[in-house]
Amino acid sequence: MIRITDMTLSCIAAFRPSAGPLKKLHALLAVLGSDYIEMPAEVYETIRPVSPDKIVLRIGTPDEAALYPEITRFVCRMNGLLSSPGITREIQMNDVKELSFFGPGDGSQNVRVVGLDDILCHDYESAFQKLQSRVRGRVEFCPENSYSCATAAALEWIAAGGADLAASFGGLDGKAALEEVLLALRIVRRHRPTASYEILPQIALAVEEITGVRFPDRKAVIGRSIFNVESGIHVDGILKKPQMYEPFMPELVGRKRRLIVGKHSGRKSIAAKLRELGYASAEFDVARLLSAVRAESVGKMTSLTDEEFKEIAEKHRL
Amino acid sequence: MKPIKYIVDTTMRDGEQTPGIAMSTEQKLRIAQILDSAGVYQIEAGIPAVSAMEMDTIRAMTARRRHSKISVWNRLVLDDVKKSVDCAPDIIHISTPVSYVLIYSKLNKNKTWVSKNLEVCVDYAQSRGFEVTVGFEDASRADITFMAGLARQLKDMGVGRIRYADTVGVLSPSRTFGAVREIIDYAGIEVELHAHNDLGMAVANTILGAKAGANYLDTTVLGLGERVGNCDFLKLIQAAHDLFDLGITRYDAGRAQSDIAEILSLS
Repeated sequence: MIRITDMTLSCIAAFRPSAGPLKKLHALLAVLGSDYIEMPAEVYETIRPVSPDKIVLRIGTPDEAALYPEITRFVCRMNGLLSSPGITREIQMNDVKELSFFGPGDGSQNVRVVGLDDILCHDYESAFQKLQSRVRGRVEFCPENSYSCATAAALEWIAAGGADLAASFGGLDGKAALEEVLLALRIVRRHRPTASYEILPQIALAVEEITGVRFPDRKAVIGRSIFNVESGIHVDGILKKPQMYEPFMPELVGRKRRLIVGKHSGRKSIAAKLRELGYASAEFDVARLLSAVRAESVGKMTSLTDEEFKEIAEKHRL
Repeated sequence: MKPIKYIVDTTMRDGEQTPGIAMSTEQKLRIAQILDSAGVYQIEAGIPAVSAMEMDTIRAMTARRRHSKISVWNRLVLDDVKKSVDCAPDIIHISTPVSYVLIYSKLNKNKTWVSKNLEVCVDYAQSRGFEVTVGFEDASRADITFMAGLARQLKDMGVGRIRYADTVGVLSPSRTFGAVREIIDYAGIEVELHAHNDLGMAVANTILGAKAGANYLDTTVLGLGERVGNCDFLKLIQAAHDLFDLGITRYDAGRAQSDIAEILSLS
């Protein structure tokens, strides 16, 4: 059993989004199908009415829980001695040494551990066991990414018998990137093998609309250019059988493969590009066209657009 | 004492395969100089078989470098290896597919063909005095027993190091650890780890591979590379500097990255 809490709405609240974009983002995240969707009380107030079923409400102090009788799950940064049923106690641990100070509180409460950025540099299997053995309630792990290892730490937590994970879309606020965790669980552990993730680009747009920051083009899983192929050696393989050089089909995450021509193209890529643009490759001197494409690409220090390619191709008709 | 690990930077080979990136000779020479000064152990300079220009670039790079070893990448094709020999680098790297999907569907060959061709190509380069390393392409989807056997064959031929390439980026940290351990235990050969970041785990997988005994770690500046890219040079050094002696300080790595980003007009 794996249970995932989507923390995106908590992590994006600092951008003070207005009701429209928030409602849209919440609806898209609901389609993605995480087990729980966490949001701060102010976001909940903004997007109401909304079904409370999957909601985990982030509150500032335990007594705020009483204001929301319709909600059954809360998360709160609080002292371990204050025990309240239904409230997950959130603890920050900035590095693995802090595990030795970890007091279990009354031991029966549900706990979320945030941080442990460096855990994979240490004996993480023992550390995970220690965490699980000191708490009788659920332990949810929310790894943070200052060591660029958060997704991997999340995956190893599951491999070590952990069940509960928290992550945010795009890795907002330094958490593990939810979309990476989902795809990694799918590929490495065959988790939710038939789920579709084609909604991811829409979520990325909704998040970008709120943060005003575009995700990098090569960002794992959601980057716009990650299914571009240029090098001859990979194009050759992909034309024969896509899974040769792709970890998963682009369509799984709502993208399409794009053939790019440039310095690294081979003859087969040129022929394929001609076909894609509706030309008959037999009508062209492909070898000389390839040399011209490579030279042009080196000259402008990047690959060619389809328009630039067409222009050069016309000069190499047989 | 922290264990010593060697950075093999492939910004100019796998990094250059990033769609949209095309490096000129001048850019490559400046990048090599920066990586050399920063303390990178080995620079994978490019693919000689690509063009005469690429070969000239590699020759110039080898002539100018001070400390770094210059290596070149080859397909398992004798004519390609001959071009590499002409470039006179320090190390000739020969890459062979090892997964059944690549051997049977892409090459339309079989395991025996791989083994025999490796013998021919490796021998050609070795008999001309070159250090040869062999790349296991798509190792993460390959049969571990086939790879371990191949590694032992290569070791017997005098190859000191194989590259374990997670070509499509599907490894997890614990799987990386297990695979590297198994190859080292069985074949007693040095392992170089080559990770891709498709699932956002390239840095973590590289760290776990190093913990398992891989002493050579592949990186690219800014994590350039096919699709999502490779293990990010600076991020790896930042994450692993407490664990390993990588021969490069975080400060120098950061400076090298920003200088190279400027040369490539990338932010």
